[in-house]
Amino acid sequence: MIRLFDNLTEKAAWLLSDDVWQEKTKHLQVSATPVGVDRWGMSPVVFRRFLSLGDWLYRNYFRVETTGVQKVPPGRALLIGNHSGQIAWDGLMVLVAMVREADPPRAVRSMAEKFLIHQPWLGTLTVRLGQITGLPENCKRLLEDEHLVMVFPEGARGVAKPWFQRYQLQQFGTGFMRLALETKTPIVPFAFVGGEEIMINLGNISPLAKLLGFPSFPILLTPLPLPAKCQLRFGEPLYFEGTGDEPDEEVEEMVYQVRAAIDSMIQNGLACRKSVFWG
Amino acid sequence: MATGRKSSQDGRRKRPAVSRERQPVLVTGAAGGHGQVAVRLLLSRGIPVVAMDVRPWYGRPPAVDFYRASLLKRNGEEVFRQARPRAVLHLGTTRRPDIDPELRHRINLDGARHVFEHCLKHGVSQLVFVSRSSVYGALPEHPTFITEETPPSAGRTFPEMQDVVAADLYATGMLWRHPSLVTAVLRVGNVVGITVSDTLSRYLRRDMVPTVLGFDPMMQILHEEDAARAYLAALESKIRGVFNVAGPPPVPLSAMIEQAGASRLPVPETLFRWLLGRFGFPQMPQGSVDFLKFSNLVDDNMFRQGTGFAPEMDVSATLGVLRDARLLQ
Repeated sequence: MIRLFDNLTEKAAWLLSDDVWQEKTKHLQVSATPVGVDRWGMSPVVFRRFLSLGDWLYRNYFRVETTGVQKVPPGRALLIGNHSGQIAWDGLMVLVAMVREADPPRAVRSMAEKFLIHQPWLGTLTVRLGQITGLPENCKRLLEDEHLVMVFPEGARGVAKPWFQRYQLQQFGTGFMRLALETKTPIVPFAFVGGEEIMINLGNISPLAKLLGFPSFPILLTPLPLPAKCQLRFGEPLYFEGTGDEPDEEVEEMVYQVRAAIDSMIQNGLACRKSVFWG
Repeated sequence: MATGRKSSQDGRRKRPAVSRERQPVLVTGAAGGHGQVAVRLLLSRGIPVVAMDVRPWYGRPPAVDFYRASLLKRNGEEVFRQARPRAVLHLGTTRRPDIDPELRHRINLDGARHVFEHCLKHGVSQLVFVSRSSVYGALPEHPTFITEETPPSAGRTFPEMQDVVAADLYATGMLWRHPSLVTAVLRVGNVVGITVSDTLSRYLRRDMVPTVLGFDPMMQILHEEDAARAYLAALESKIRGVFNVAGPPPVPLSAMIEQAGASRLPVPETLFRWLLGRFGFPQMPQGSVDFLKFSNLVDDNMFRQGTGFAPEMDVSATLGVLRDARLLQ
């Protein structure tokens, strides 16, 4: 049964992916043990197979235009961006872009919601794709191991925004900045434009979300993702000096600089866009 | 026997004065799986050993001084009086769910209290207190690699672990209150082997291993001989503090089952919980199901740095022992 599932997913991955994807995923630097996963539980095989669907969406459905990927420095770095799309389509596209467009290809680790990690199948898949429970201790350890970590400081506030708040950056947490200061990690801001139009949210039913233990419960006008044309723009890395133990005011000022950089890239992306679906 | 009885010998012989280094190491719970492996290793390194257990130990090495005594009774203290150990390796704890909860509580918590009292009273200079990394619990708010600073919280979802957690916290408290006794509390991960019968070891010995459908947690295992080497490393390096002890890098549970030569039977969680203890399913408390769903990995860097310990057996070799044992059967 497991072998049949393996064969089917391998065949599907082969059909969905192109030569670039197959070649790039071979060169992913993951220190997997003999059983095929690294110590965090990431499996390069599952990553290659499952994200071949993401790669197909990246090329054919969302037709993502990525710019500035060469600005991501080697070694440890924090990718900080805006969050949108109800489901983390933006995160998925960044994962694909850093394999497809970066040289050498890099496996991005992201800080996933605890809720996600603890769901059957979904949680296991998330871990096999290299995503980690969103906790400062995990993030710090990943950075110290020279990983590229993606954080959406808006969290669930950003991803589950209703339609009328599209492209309005929500409040940023300060945890990522304190970790960047403590671990001397450069911050690479990025903007994902098009994500707000993938799934249109009319509003959230908070009591229902609370009752079910979900981060949010959106009323979706479009339950299936729309083929919005997306842009992924990476900015210049930002280097901040400090220990991570500064007062909130100082850290918030630094966070504001990152937020402003992301906002500026979003506005540029929107200004360049003539059509939601055709770019 | 009323007093600490040295098995098959007169237990009240008078011992001559010996140098501190030649004073023995007392191993409590020595007749258990962990104890047997640890005693054999200590003896093989030329360390004099006094073993103690309330259970009989048939087929023990002739070089070991074995006392049938209980830490919960007066004869337990008599062993300390007679043997005058320089160090104690405390393995006399249990997590077995089939033991009466009151007795388990007494073994774990009162046993811990008595071992500290006897050590302090009878001039023992070092204590290695073996606890379990499962005291942290498999909880969503824990980081992927749990450090020693994380509070042991297993009792929240796993009431049967409360006595183990309490004993661990008691030992940690005593560690700082009595600096004259060099104490190391070792929170040891899942130990696997043919001699030990820890929960995971028993679970992986099955031909058909039931798992919770949709979950495949990362797990750490430690070969029983590596566990014994870790106890020895703690004794030799005289470390003080609380330390996580783990084996080779973690692997998914599914890979472990495969390497142990068993088959996997994924069962939906509700059914799995209902089937526990029925129709040949393992006799496990409900709280332990979380450990089959979520990771409970520990960061053992502090122990490795403090002692230079490194496991000698990788996952494949560790589980190969179970696979070979299954083939022989």
